[in-house]
Amino acid sequence: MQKLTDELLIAYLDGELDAPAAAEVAAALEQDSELNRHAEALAHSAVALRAAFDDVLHEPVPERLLAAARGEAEPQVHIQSAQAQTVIRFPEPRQRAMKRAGTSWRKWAALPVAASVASLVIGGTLGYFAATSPQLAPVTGQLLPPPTTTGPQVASSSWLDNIAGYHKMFVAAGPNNDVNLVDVPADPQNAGPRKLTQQLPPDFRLPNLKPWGLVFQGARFLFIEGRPATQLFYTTDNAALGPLTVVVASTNLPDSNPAFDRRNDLNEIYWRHQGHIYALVGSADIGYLWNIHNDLAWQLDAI
Amino acid sequence: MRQAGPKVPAPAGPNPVSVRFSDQLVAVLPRLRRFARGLTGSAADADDLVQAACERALAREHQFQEGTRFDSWMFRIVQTIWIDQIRSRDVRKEEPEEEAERMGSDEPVRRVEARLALAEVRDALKELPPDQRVALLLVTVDGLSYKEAAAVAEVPVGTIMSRLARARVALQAKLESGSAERSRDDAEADR
Repeated sequence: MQKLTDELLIAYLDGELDAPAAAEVAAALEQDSELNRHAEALAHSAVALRAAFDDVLHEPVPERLLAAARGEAEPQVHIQSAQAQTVIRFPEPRQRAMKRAGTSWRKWAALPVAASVASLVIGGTLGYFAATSPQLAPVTGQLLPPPTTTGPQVASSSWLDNIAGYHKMFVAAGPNNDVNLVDVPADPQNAGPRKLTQQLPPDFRLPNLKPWGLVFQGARFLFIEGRPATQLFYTTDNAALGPLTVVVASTNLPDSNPAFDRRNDLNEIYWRHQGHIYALVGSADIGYLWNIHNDLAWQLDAI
Repeated sequence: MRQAGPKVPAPAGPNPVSVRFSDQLVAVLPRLRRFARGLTGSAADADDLVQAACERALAREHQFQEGTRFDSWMFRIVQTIWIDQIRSRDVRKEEPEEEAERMGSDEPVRRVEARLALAEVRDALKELPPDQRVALLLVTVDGLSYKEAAAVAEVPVGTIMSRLARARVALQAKLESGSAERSRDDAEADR
């Protein structure tokens, strides 16, 4: 394959390439760690850009624009020269929020999302993740395996911060978010104005976590150890379990035992198995996660 | 008893707007505002731009063809007016964004930092050439396909692809240099 251009790489990230071209780019990414870092940074900056303008979608629309859309407004005369004299000033943000109390929560819901994205911008994209020393979550008396030293390399584990950050964003936005956090919604018919640029790979089977009361809400794509990965979001009414994230990525590293970690006040368990890396992220205690891991591992073995 | 006169049709209003057209316009307003905010970099200018686009759309409702994507048609109008504006005048210096006003001094530091980081992204966008800004906002922010964005910008798909690539790489470089600068400042402050 010729040297991969930024155009091709970005078209790949945007889901604009046909299957053969996408496979070529994926192969190039596997072979070139530098290219991978570049792709990951580009993917992160796209998320940051969307987040930077997300607030606008949740602001109440000024009355003058609603009137203009209905043909009820005084036409703006000489808009090009009247730039310094806004025809009608719309109310201050606080007043507008009070008038449209029904939508104001969205703005505040979006704030932690913005904070999380910002931390990804500052950290993940640009390589300045704060070094978070791994620490074991409190054990709950359930049977747990001994701490492992053969788990995936912690030294290259900024992705653990990344998936914890996205988990928090998803929880903050709520399952019916329209903050464009998911690339593939659970219900494609109700995907809103944003197009589905990508789909889950045809050979990808969603883990069935319904027995745990977990309902699939959508998926997003990311990079882990330089390879494309999928992060699946689940929610539940069970407050003790809470929302859960499952991450599946391909890897060429050998199998590893499950390892525990705690990032961003969330528990994580992650392992490698037959060319895939898996991770669970949630606020549930490690015992809960361990049991779900067992179920998931059994399902994945069966695939 | 007076006889009723012949029925006279009610006079048409000064600007009869079909309800369906108007409803579509209202529905797309939040996205138009976001697009315009990204183009102009200013909340007030963006809303002026959207208002002008609404007026133009209503005046040209008859030109809208069924089967055309309404949102794309509106994006094109916004873009055209904006290009006309920046061609005919120097864009005034951007006002501080209203988010800065919204932040109280007692807001937790993390949120303030988040706002600043996202403001940095918006600033980086403002430094890009207009055509690249349009491509980024249509594809990366609004999620249009390359083909749809090309139709809005009235350029070939290949042009959108290359503009987008240049824009994404430039944006990434700007964010990276901003971050490097920030960590240098932090290091100096720690000394």
